[in-house]
Amino acid sequence: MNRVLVIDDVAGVRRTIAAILRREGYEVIEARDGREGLDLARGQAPGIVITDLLMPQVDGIEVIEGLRRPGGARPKVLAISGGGSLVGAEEALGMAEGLADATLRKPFEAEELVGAVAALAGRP
Amino acid sequence: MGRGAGAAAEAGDGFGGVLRLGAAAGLERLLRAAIETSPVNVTLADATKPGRPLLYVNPAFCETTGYSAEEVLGRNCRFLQGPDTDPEAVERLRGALARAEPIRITLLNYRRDGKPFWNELSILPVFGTDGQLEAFLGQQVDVTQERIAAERDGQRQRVEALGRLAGGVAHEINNLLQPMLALPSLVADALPAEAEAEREWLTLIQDHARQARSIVRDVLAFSRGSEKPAKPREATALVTQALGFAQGLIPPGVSVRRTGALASGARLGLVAVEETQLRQVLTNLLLNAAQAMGGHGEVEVGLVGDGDALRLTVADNGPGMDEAVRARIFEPFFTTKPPGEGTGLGLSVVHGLVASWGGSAGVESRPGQGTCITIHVPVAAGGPDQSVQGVS
Repeated sequence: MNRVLVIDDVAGVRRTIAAILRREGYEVIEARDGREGLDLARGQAPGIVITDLLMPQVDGIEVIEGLRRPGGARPKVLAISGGGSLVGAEEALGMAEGLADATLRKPFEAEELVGAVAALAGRP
Repeated sequence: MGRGAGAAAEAGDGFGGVLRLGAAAGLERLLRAAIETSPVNVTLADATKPGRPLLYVNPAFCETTGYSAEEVLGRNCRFLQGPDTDPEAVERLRGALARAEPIRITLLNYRRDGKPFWNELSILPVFGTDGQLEAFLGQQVDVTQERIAAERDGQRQRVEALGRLAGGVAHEINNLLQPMLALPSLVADALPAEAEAEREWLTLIQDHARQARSIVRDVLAFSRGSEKPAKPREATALVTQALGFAQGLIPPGVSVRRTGALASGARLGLVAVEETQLRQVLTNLLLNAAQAMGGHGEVEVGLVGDGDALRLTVADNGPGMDEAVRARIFEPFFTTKPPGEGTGLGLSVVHGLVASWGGSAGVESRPGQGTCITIHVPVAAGGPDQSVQGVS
């Protein structure tokens, strides 16, 4: 549960999440898009995957479905979104409900992220 | 246009040409009956006398303007003009008459009771057989309803276009805000204990990021329109509850007077409105009214049934606004407040939320006469709330 994979096409968001979680003692790996994320998830077996929902090519919903395939390691998933130009954040997070284990609306504060990830990791 | 009839047209078809009277034929009586029963306002003014006095007005004219024929015959038609009649349009009209040219123009006129109406006016100069200008034939149609509908459509389109643009920008900004919102606390932890000033600067960055996030959420609230419909709830109780919440957020010098169902407790039916959204709408409207009144005064909030809809009104007795401000009041970032005192998003958020309920928001205001925002919310399927009948 200590290894966290962060998938977001915006580098600033990815690096922010990585910085916060590394400070909390997690091992963080980063992916720039959904395809790279699925590859890393297979090779590195993270306990938790944080994925943006609206990304070009392979979006977050496809990432979660890929992670949920039978035979996979089934990591815990935190879906994040600030919405896109056509889909609002709440709408996007609503689509992930039932698929992801938790959702968080961007932009969030460090404490919100730490709390959400700790809950998924089963940390006190 | 048939030649050989009582009146034959020359040089043009319909408006844009002039009429030259030929020898009157037996059709005269029938033509008179046609004019007397026409839904179009018809006037004839004497062009040979100074001041062009009215020679004739038909019953439709009397019905539209509220004047009797006796009251207006012999007078110049300018008695229809009033305070908000566009002087430039009047000037164009006068110029055309002076040059004996036909003109078609829409201008704001006033009924006998002072009520304004938009008048689409066509005037033809009428020449006799000797080529002398004899009269002006006026034909007028009240196009007020069309003007209001066109204005509302135009406003809705403008607001929608701005909403899409603002929505797209807002989503980009959400990602850009992420480091500014989340990283300052990490940096603060890494600073030595004595770095108090630096810690304060980081707090400043984070506070501003929070404010920016709040603006972005307002913009999104304005631009979103595809939310899941809320569960229908009894309207009077819902509005009363949300109003109680909103009232707690306005300055103490402003009181709220409840009218209609909010005073009587009458049940008006169900509405599919999310309470948090209604709270936001009422809060924004009350704060806006409070600011308009300088933080002191009374806001009247009313709720009444209106056909298949409910009408929620928020009225203040502040300074009101002119037409230019009124027309733009629901646009995002439009504000009359000094820079730094308002984002100009409050009423655009109201507009966006109300539209997402399938309702509409409108504003009535005149300088010196306060402002009344009216919101129409459709009554949800299921009609009057049967389940609570007998419960007072």
